[in-house]
Amino acid sequence: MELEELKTAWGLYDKKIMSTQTITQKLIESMIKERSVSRVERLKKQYFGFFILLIIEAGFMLAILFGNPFDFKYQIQFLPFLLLLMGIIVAFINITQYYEKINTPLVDKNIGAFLKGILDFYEKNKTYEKWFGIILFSIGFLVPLSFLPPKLEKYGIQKGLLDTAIPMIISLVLYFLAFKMGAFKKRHKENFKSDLEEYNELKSMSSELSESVN
Amino acid sequence: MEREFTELVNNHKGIIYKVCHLYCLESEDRKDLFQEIVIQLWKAYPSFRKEAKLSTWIYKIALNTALTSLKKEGKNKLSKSISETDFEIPALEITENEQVNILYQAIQQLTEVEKAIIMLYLDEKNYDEITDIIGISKTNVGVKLNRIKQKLSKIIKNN
Repeated sequence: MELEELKTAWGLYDKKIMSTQTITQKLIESMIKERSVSRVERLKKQYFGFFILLIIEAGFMLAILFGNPFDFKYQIQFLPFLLLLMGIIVAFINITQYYEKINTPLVDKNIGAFLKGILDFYEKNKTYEKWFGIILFSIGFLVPLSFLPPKLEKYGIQKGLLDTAIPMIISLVLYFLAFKMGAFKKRHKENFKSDLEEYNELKSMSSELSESVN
Repeated sequence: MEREFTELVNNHKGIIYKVCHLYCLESEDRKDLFQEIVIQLWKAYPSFRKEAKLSTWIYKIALNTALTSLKKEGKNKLSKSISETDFEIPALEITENEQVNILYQAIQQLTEVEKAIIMLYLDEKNYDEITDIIGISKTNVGVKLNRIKQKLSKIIKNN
């Protein structure tokens, strides 16, 4: 059987499907009313979630820096919060810039550009997830340092240092245990596996196109 | 705008149906993919530039959506309103043509990108259009197509 013969058969199939039932406006409307569940949409939502969390965290940091709810006496006590705020701002700027970029429709680009865009999307998402984890961890770890000066005044050097080190160590241990027990993985375990599979699939498709170009 | 869009989908339903058939084996998955393509077309429709060829634009969206399809998102995503209607994507068998089925079985053994290229070839798209949709050079379209044709012939002969 020659491919040209098959091409003719394919054309026949094309004509037949064009003559099938008309898709009604009602059906189209019910379809477009449904929310999209595509991977890209899901990732976009995830980015939006990061935004909100970063804004909330930044709000807390600003409230601490300007409202001084813990009655800090020395400016150095604000340093951990200031560093965290700076980290949040940098992460926020990065995510905003990237969100704007990905919010332009990718789907009507050619397949090569589309796949490249999606891969870029996955890579960045991984980076931002790490960023977010680091910020959360830093809060748990650095914040007890802010309370060191009053503790030194109140309990002396030895007890003051010990009293500060304990929450820092607890924070470290909790993070370590949570990590070991798969708490961070578990949250996304199912999605993570299929994300990874899809990522690898897309990567091989993209390299298939790159091979053709070279 | 809804009426215009419905007309657009109906005029090009063949492209969408064929993409659904090539990228989904199960009937329910095909319906899901059809719905997702329609959603993506609807979202991109306001930014569609009239100077671009409509069919090329639809191919791009349909294929890109299929490549990142919903098959891994789990079953039963289709809304009740849609599954309850008598909406069906016509089966390939409607041609009662064995050749189409042979070709379809052979195409299923190609990679996802190869499927896209051969579909465009079978749909009589010229090299310029294939280049525009796939994003590789014209020369490479030729090279790639020859390889796919050889691969398909081999598969068909072996079957």
